[in-house]
Amino acid sequence: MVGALVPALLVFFFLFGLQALRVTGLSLASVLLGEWSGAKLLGNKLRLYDGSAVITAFLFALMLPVSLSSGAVALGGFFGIFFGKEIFGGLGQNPFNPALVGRAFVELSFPVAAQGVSLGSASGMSSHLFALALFMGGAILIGRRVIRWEQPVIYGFSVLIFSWILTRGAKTPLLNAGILLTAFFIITDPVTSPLTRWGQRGFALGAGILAVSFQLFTPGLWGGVGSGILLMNALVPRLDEWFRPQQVRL
Amino acid sequence: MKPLRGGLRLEEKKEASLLPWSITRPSLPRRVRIPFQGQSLVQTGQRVRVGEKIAETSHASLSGTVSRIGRFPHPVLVDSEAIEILSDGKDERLPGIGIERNAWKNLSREEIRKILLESGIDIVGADLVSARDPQVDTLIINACESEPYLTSDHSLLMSHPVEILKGGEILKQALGARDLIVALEDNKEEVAELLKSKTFFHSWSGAKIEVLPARYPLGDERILVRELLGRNISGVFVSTVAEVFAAYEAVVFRKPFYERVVTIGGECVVQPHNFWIRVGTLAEEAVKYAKGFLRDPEKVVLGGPMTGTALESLDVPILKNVPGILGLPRELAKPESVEPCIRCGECVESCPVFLSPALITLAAEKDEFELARGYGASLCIECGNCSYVCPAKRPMLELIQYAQSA
Repeated sequence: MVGALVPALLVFFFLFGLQALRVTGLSLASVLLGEWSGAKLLGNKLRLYDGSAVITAFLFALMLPVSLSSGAVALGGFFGIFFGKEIFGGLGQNPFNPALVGRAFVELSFPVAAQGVSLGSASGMSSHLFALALFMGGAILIGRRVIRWEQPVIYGFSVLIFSWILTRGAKTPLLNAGILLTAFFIITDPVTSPLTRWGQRGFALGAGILAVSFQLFTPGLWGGVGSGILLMNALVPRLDEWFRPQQVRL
Repeated sequence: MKPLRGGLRLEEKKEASLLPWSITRPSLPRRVRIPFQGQSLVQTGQRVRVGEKIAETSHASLSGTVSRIGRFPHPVLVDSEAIEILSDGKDERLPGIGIERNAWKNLSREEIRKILLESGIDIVGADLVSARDPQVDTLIINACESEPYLTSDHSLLMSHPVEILKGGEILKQALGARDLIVALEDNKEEVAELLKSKTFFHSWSGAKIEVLPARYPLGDERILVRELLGRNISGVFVSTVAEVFAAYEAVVFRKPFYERVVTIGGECVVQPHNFWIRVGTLAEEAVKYAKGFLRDPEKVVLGGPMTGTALESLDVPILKNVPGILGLPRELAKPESVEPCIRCGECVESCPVFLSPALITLAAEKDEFELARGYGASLCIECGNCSYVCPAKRPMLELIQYAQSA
């Protein structure tokens, strides 16, 4: 649901102005180009209207520092959608979250520039404003029954509890805008998360623990949160296997 | 009782055809076409009366002349051999039908079975033989009617509660069963109350009336047995309300199974209602009983909207096992464009037998039949829940059937 991202985007434009608009516009253009290329070059069915590419573009934009060069944004957007989704066959076939794949490309190719202030590292008033906007978006998604409330809640709690345990109460980064964006929009992407309810709960729990671990112990993608998600994405087939319901012969 | 896992709360849409709940007996159809198997016992030009045996398990539902015996369109098969009878308008029955014989309690199991078979209740009769192994201990009268629009069982139970309870007793005697249960969904409270009051006033100790939370597909007999008794269907015999009533009429009045209650409904029909329909009545004539269509239906379904058959033409006969004819409007039945699977998991949550329809259908799409069977394709009960909930509108049931076919 693109509408749920609107509050966060508005805050993005409000806080970072024209730069934010630039980044978002480039992201949108490059992602749509990537999707179109997937259709032309790989034979995937062209489905620009279904909004999934648009959501990827907005999420990708929100993960970036607004100081990032236009080239980096465009390359990242294209790479993310093309190598993160299209080469797997398009909608429904990708194991990894394409926005995070794009972000990974940017971090690996432009390591210095990627360190700039983005959603994940915003602090103070900005981060509170983002948090509010993201909660609103989350409320829309849950209210409209697009996502299940358990996933953001389990993810949020696992981040909270695990960081409290590991830092002995020192840090509780729950209101970190990056965590909230992940909780409502990344964890809940049905394509890259498990099929079964219990699998999804395990996914949210694991992602939360990993996010905290990466943040505290080793450097990770997008403040650690991204690495956590990509690792859990890779584990999804395993989770589907473990949590498959017991078939009943009648 | 806990609601069924994966059970869907469907919009019932039953009120229209239950205003009032009485069953209308319409004027006779001009002709009937009765499909048959094996040899025909009548010839073209022969005069037949109502109830006369015309084939192995088929009886004339009109009095009149046999006009043609040949291949005619069939609702499920492309066509089949059928006997067409033109009505003479007199509705003359065979003598002997309609005389009450109340000494059925003295009949042996074999004798009851013979009467049922002779009366064309082949579903029950044939099963009764094989139901001997294993010994049946429980008979369940399936009055759930989980599918939307259908109310034929509801109206039959309201009109003839005692007859149906007696029919249950007859079948119980024939099966040698210990327990008799009438299973109802909680949207039929008035029926449950009526049955309870009848069992009370007649001091009937034999029948238990059970009311379950209304969820589709509770009406599937395997699911019903699991929910009601917590066991496998082996040793349990599940009968439909129509069959039980037909069994009563067969044993007490020697009336063969030549008519049944059918709900003619759906949003496109002028006056949805329940009617006594003679077996072999053509769908187009039956629809006229409900005053026809007020707008063009997108689909005309024989049976319920979840498990029924969409008709190509209305020139097909209504058979003994058809509970309804529904005219469904465009907004409910229009073909939707199919999107790819987004792995949302709704189908897994909605499956009453704990399968993973997403995995089965993804494998089926790639012709990976071994994989599909590994995910449980053969265990599917074909309820259609997964198709109903899929946000991508994938043809789930068809894909699972495709996987089963290989």
